[in-house]
Formats: sequence, C-alpha cells, structure tokens
Amino acid sequence: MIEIRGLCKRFGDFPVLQDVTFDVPRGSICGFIGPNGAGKTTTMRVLATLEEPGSGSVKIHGLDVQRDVQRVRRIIGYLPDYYGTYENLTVADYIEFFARAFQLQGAAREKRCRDVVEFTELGPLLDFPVEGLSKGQKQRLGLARAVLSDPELLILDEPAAGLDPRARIELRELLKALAARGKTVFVSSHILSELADFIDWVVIIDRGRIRHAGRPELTDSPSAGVHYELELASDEALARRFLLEQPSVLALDGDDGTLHVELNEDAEKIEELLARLIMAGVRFRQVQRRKVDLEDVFMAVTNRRSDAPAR
Amino acid sequence: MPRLAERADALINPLMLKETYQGFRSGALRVIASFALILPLLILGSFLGIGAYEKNEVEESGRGLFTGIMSALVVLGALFAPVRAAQQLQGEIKSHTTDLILLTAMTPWQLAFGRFQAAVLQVTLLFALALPFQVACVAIGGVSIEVIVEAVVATFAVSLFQCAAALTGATMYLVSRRLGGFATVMAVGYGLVVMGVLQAHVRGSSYGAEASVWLVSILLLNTVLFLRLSADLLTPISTRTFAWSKACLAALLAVLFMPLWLGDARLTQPERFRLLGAGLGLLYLFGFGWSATALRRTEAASRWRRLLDDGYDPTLVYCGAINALVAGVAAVRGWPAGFACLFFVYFVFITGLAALVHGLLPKTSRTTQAYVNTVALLLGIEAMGTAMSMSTNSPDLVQALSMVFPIGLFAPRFNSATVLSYVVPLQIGAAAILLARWRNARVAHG
Repeated sequence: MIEIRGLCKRFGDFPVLQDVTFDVPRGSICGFIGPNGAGKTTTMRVLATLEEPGSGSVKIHGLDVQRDVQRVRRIIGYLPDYYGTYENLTVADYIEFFARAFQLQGAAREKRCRDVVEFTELGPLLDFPVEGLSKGQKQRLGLARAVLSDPELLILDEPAAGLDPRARIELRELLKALAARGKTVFVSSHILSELADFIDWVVIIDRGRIRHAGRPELTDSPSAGVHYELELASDEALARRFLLEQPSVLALDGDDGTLHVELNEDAEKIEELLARLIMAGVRFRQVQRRKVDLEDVFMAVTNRRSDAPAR
Repeated sequence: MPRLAERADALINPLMLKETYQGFRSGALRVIASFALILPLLILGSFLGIGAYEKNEVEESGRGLFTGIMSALVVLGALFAPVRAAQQLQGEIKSHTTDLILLTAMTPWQLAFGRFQAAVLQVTLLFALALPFQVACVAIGGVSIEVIVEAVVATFAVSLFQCAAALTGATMYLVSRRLGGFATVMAVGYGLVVMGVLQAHVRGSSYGAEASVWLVSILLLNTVLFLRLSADLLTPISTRTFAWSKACLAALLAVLFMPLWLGDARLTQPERFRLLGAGLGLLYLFGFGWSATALRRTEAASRWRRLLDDGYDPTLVYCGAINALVAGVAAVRGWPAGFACLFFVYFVFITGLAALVHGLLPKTSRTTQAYVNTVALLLGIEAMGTAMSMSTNSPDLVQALSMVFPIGLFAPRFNSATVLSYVVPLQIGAAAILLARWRNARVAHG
C-alpha cells in the first residue's frame, strides 16, 4: 500500500529525513512511532502530498505522490496533528461542506453524511458550533472528515495527542472499527502504549532515519535485548547508578522500587550481573523476565540508554 | 425537476456556500451592509440640512448624493470587501485548514473561484442595497441613468478585480509566509495603479464609450488573470506550470494593445509609448515572479534536468514570444523593434544575475522573497545608472555602461550599435543562468 524508497528531505541546512525506506502492507494498521522531532509529521505530510519530497520515491497504491497528486488525494484521508476550525459553522455544516468538497451529490451525499455521523457518534452534536467542541470531539469530527470520501488509506498524525483517557479509548475503538472495514491505517504517536494494543505493523523513526519496519514483535529486531524486572529491597539510586555503568545494560527505566532493565545477553548473562549487583550492596526481592512490548522494541531499535522512556 | 435541482446543486461551489454562511452569521457583513445603507442616508441628510433643496439647487443635491453613494461603494466594494476576503484566507492558511481543503476533490481553480464567488456575492449585495438611493438620485435630478449605469459597471468591475487581486495576494502566503501581507497590499495597490493609469490615459481622449468598454474589458481580464494565478499557486509545485496564467496574460496584453493593433491614428506618440511600456512592464513583472517560483523547485530533479530545464525556460520562451509579437505590432506602426529586443535582453540579464545571487545564498536564505529582493535591487541599480547618465547628459557614459549593463530604456532606437551593445549583457545573463543551474545541480547531487 505504502512504498517509500530513499526519501530525503531537508529544511534549510537541517536534514529532516535521511534515506527513509519502508513498506506498509495493504489492510494493516501501522503504528508510526518516534520521539518528537524524529520526522513523523514530515513523512506523513509527504505521503499526504502536502510536502514535496526532497529526493527518493514515495508511492501509495502504486501511485507516485509527486506525479499523481490528484489521484493520490482521492484515495487518502488525512488527519493532521494540528488544524484550526471554522468560525460560525455548526458540526452539520462542517460535514456537509466537506461532503460537497469531495463531490458527493444528492442522496449519496446525505447517506454518506449520515453514515459518518453515526460511525463517529457525532449525532447529538450536529447543531453545535465547531469552534465550541472539546479536543476529543474535534478529533472525532476530524476523523469524520477524513473518512467522508471512503479512502483506502487513512493517515492519522498524533490523533490521540491532548485527549483525556475516555476520548483516547473512544478513538482507539474508532480506529479498530476502521481496520475491521478493511482500511489501511497509518497512525503516528510518540506515546507507545496508545498503539500497542491494536497495531499489526510498526515503523520506528528516530532522528530522520528508519530504525525498524515490520511486525511489532521484538524477535524481528536483530539489535534487541532481553528484558528483566527487578523488584528492589534496598536503595534504588545505588542500583540505578550501578546498572547505568554496566556496558551490557542497553536501557533502564522504572520507579517505586521496581527497575526495568534491558540486557544484552550476548555481552553478559543475567546471573553474572545479579551477582555483581549483590556484591555492590544492592538487595532485591524478586527478578523476573518480562514479556516484551512495543516500548521495548522502540528502546531496542533506537538503542537508547535513558532513565526515562521516550515520550 | 428533482434531477434539475440536483444538477443545479452540483454546480454550487462548496467554498462559496461555506463563505456565504459564515459571512451572514458573522457580524462583519452586517456592519458592511449597515454602512452601505447609513452612509448615503447621512449624505442625503446633510444635503437637505444645508438647505440645498430650498435654494433650488436640486440637481446639485442629486449629483452630491450620487457622488457620496459611489464613494461609499468604492470604499466598501473595492477596498473593504477584498481585504476582508484576503484576511479570511490568510487566517485559514495560518490555521492549516487550507491543507484539509486542498486534499478534497476540488480543483485548484474551484478553490480560487469559490472564494471569489463568495466575495463577489457580498459586493453584489452592497450594490443592491445602494440601488434605491441611485434611483433616488435620478428622481432628484442632476444625474442621468446612463451616467449611473456606466459608473456602477466600472466600480463593480474594479471591485471584482480588487477581490481577485486580494485573494491572490493572500494565496501568496502559501508560497512564502513573509510575502503574504506584503503581497496582498501590493496586489490591491496594483489594481489601483492600473485603474489610475488607464483612466489617465483615456481621460480627455476622443474615445468616449469605446474607452469604457476597453477599460472594463481590461479589468475583467485582469480579474481572470489574478484568479488563475491564485489557482496556480494552489497547484502542487511539482505540477505547477502557470500555463493558464500565461495564457490569460497574453489575452490581457492583446486587449491592452488593441489600439495599436487597430492602427488607430488618434493615438499620439507618447500615448503609444505609454501603452507599450505599460504592457511590457506587466509582462516582465509577472515574468520575474514566474522565474522566481521556477528557480526554487526541482530539488528532486535529475542533474541533466536541472542543467537544461529547471522550469525557467518555458517562461523565457513565453516572454520572448510575446516580445516578438509586440515588436511585430511596433514595426507595423513604425516602432523600432529595438524596444522589444531591449526588454528581452533586460529580462535575461536581470533574471540570470538574480538566479546566480539566489544560488550563492545559504540554503536557508534561498527563498522567493530573497529572489524578488535581488531582482528589485538590480532594477534599482539599473535605474540609478540610467538616472546618472541622463543627469550628466553623457551619451558616452550610456554607451559605455550599456556594454556591461542593458541601459538604454530611454533610447529604444534599433541600430547596429545598440544591437551589439545588447549582445554582452545577453551573454552575461545566459552565462549566469547556466552557472546558477550548474551550482544547483552540484549542491543537489553532491
């Protein structure tokens, strides 16, 4: 569905995207993750034909985003990370306006508007002024606009940013429903737990370079480590200091007396590390191997050593 | 019938509908409408108040009221409404809602035309509100229906043009954030200048009604040209060619040069000179702009494409072809072909140097505005050189400078000496263009 080869983009002297290459299969929900400033929004704007690629090739459904701009625009729905709303328009006017702009006519337009209102549960808000909606309601309205033309590919840039927990859950349910309808969803976020539940493909970008593209399982990544959870019985600061000095520790985070350690087992076995920890004066109640999640994949492929997860 | 209604509904531009909804629901339109109603009433009241009616100066009252109404319409229709439309569009670009509309199935032309239709609808409403007062003017006396129709048509045409110009200026914000507000002021100012120059040109001439038709035609063609420019700016840069805008400008120039084409003996020599100068000035004003947008694209193009054609050549060919046509007209009417030749040399020279300077700037500073500034600077130097040579009354200095700089605007005679003096700047310009392209190709491909 999405095919990007050697995409480079600069803003002035600053390289935003460097040799970005990845594929996203048709019908998948692809999480596009990376820290702030990694190049997610630029990549998505290039895909949405709103930004010129510097060099390289970007294709959606076999169509080149530079040469077949109008055809590409017909098969995508795009929800930007930030967009203003119109003053003096109600939710119903807003949806009607975009339905007309997508050249839906007569009965077909009315039916489509009804469908998206039902899908996004905007019915009770139809007479509300758009500028008076909450952030979560605006995101639902944005999603309604993005799906109005029944696109093959949905490009959603940080759709959950700034939403309260309830609105996030509602949005997640909407995305799952879209996937169930066979749409390809390309969704970005810097909050990994938001995506972990429902994506079946992941692309990780960091400082303009793709670090991983494929299924979200850790086994796909050659640079991955093994994850352990250490429940401490003694001073946490001492344990942190000691672990951060160990070359075999790839990543470290956690709090409240529990540390999550990613260990390169090729360099050192866990029992050796634990023995040295005890010798250093650290005591712990329990050690267990942890099931890997998207956050671990991210930490592994971006090869970060930090006390805090990338947020 | 339902099918007919559906077809009519499909023809409505969504943007026009949205802007009209918003216009009616916002207070701004009510304020404009109130002004349109209150202002003539105040003028009428003041005339009655000073006792013109009792003094049997009824006709003067009618003329005064008419002047007041038309002044209000010019201010509201040709200035307030266009600037408001431009501000709205700029606000949308700032809040990124334009991105969302760009991704719909609407063509760039529909996007530009929809907004224009909404602005025109508001202007039409203003004119409709003022209609009863104009009828009152006829009833009071002092103004004939013909005078009212002519004034209303001309003012309406000016308002249409101003709306198109202001929207184009606002669309420039997409090209350069720094250029936006400046471009709107420039576009609206351009309209006023065009109108002023043309009116000055026909005032006192023996053309009469023909001149009015000519003027209104030029304004309407200017309107279409600016709308096409706006549509071109909304077109993705990879497919943007400005082909429609160029066709519109060619049509505008053809109408502008109509008196020359027709070989009208009533034109005096200075009038011909002014007409030709204004037309070619327009051609190069737009030519410089089109070259600027061509020069900043093709980052993704191949090395050979960059070297041979970076999008600048079609503009050069276009300007050359129009020049040849103008030279043809000029030759028929006894005008020297050197005039057009000089402009062509001038274009190559200025754009070439501007491209080179633009290419030498660091990548972060390489913007359309930087290019336009360079062109303006070179034009300034050229003007200074010409002024110096004129003030010192030194033809030798002119001759010497023209060997390295295409000075000679005031000496458009076609002879072998001037042709030779054009060769050097032409070569410098062409070399500068190639050098700029070579640099671009090297930077892009390492």
